[in-house]
Amino acid sequence: MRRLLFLSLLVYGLIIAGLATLHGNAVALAMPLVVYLIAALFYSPEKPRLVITRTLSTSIVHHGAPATVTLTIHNQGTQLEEVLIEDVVPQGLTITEGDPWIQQSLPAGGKTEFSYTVEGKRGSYPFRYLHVTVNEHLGLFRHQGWLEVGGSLMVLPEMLQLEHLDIRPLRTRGYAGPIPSRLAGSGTDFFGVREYQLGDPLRWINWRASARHQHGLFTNEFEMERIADVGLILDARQNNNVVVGNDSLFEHAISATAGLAEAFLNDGNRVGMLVYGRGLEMTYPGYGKVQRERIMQALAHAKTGDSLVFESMDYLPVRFFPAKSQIVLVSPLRKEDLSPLTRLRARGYQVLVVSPDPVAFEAQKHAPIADADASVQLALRITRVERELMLRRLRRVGIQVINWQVDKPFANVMRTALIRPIIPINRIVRIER
Amino acid sequence: MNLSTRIMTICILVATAALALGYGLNRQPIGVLVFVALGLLWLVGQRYALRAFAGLGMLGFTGGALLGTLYGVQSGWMLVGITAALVAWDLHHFIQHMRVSEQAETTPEDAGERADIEGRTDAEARVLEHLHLRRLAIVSGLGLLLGTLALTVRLTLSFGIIVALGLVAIYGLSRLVHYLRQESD
Repeated sequence: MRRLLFLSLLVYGLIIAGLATLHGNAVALAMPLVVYLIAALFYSPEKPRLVITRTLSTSIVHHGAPATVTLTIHNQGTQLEEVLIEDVVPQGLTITEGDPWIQQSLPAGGKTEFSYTVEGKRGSYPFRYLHVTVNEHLGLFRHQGWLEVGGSLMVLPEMLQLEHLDIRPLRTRGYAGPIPSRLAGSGTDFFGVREYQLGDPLRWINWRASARHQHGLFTNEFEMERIADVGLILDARQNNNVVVGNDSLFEHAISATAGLAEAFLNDGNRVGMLVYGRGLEMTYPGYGKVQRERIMQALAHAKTGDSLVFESMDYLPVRFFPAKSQIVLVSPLRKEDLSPLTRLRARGYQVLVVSPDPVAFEAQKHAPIADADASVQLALRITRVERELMLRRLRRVGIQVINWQVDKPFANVMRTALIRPIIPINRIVRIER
Repeated sequence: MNLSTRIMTICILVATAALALGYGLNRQPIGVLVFVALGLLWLVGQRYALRAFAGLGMLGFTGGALLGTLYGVQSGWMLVGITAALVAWDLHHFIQHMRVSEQAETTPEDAGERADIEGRTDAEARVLEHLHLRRLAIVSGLGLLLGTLALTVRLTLSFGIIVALGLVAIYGLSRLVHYLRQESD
């Protein structure tokens, strides 16, 4: 537009000067500019009629996996001498291949397409607008505007792979699974001895016990193994998060929660999830792959947030979790959380706390501690001691606590922490004697 | 250096040479110096992709051509100069436009590498460039031809007719620009 005005002013200037001085040659000098203006006007574009569709190779991708965005443009109007179509790539996505724009001529009824590949961090990325600019070759006249062409890409969180996790909730569900149910029945682990009942298999008879008693036979009992209800709680309180540079402790907590959900669901358990922070974002308990997808999508959307109501864990909706079930809290923890967690334990829940260590995380991300001055080192020691005391107090009330330094492999930490103590064989013999 | 940039440089040199020669032949060395300086300034502006320098150059060359015509410099040189300046001005904007669209959606990291139009390998870009150059060649050729005709054909008109024609031309142009602005909005 400014070019058009500039050129018009030049033409005006030449013509007026020629007329004012009665100098025909001055008017003749305006001729190339007038021809230029008329040519631009003659070819000026009409309002474009474009039909644009956006296709994503997949709407859900795993962390680090690429997704290809393809835009197909169909010109339903007259010929477009020069069209520039720019896609607005949502913030957070990185273009790894191709360009999110195209600039070319498009004949009437013509079709074209372009594609590019993106990658991103965990989250949901809505595509909405395209910017379209149409002009004639000389670029004096143009139409430009925004077209809404929707699409959405969800990047699932990184998942930390875990093997089977040994948990022992007080109550299990009615279906066979891998968790000892504290009830006698069919199973593999020895549970106790009772009097023989009609129908008991002969190989279950405990001959030693029976030999000691003259008047009856005794049968071994085994512990039933069942599936359980597992409630995952992800702490998304802004105050509990530690962000150093581009790295956030919350992201590690999300990866851990994803790994835990996957492991529990693989064992056949019924798993629900609660993201506690900005509000209460619940994923109701369920089984299998569908539930896994639900949890992953909820985690993809999870964000930290502040809320006066949910600043402490006092308002944890306990009824969301079935009575005496297993609760797994993924949280860096703070002092104020001791009391609500103790209450949770007192209500009969089996509580496991996976706590990404904020002190180690921050210390590791900053300058080497050895180089820091004495006051920093002292502060670090005090914080570590305070945290250790807090964790001990939790352990004392019967809560399993796993202090996870996020630079260590999560699977190893969990395996070490949840390993079921094996009673040495010689000790069993001593007991039987 | 790609085709557009080369043609633009040539056009700046041609415009400078035409105006300088015109003034030189008319024994006005100051005019020669001024247009050589203006041409150099435009070339520097083009080198550093400074958009304002194109406008400045175009304004300078048009003003110079007008003054030269009024002060008796041979109008043919002035017409060649103004046409070459128009082509250079157009190409300067065309190159900038291509650069801007190139940079619009690239990340800051690769923008530096890819900022120059020379690096652009897309077939579409080359097609667009050729179409633009073809259109520009036709338009500037036609303008030059009509300008030459206007310089050579002599009509004797009375003062009243000239004024009337002038007013009609100005009114017509005003309406045209008004219409074009509306269309562009």
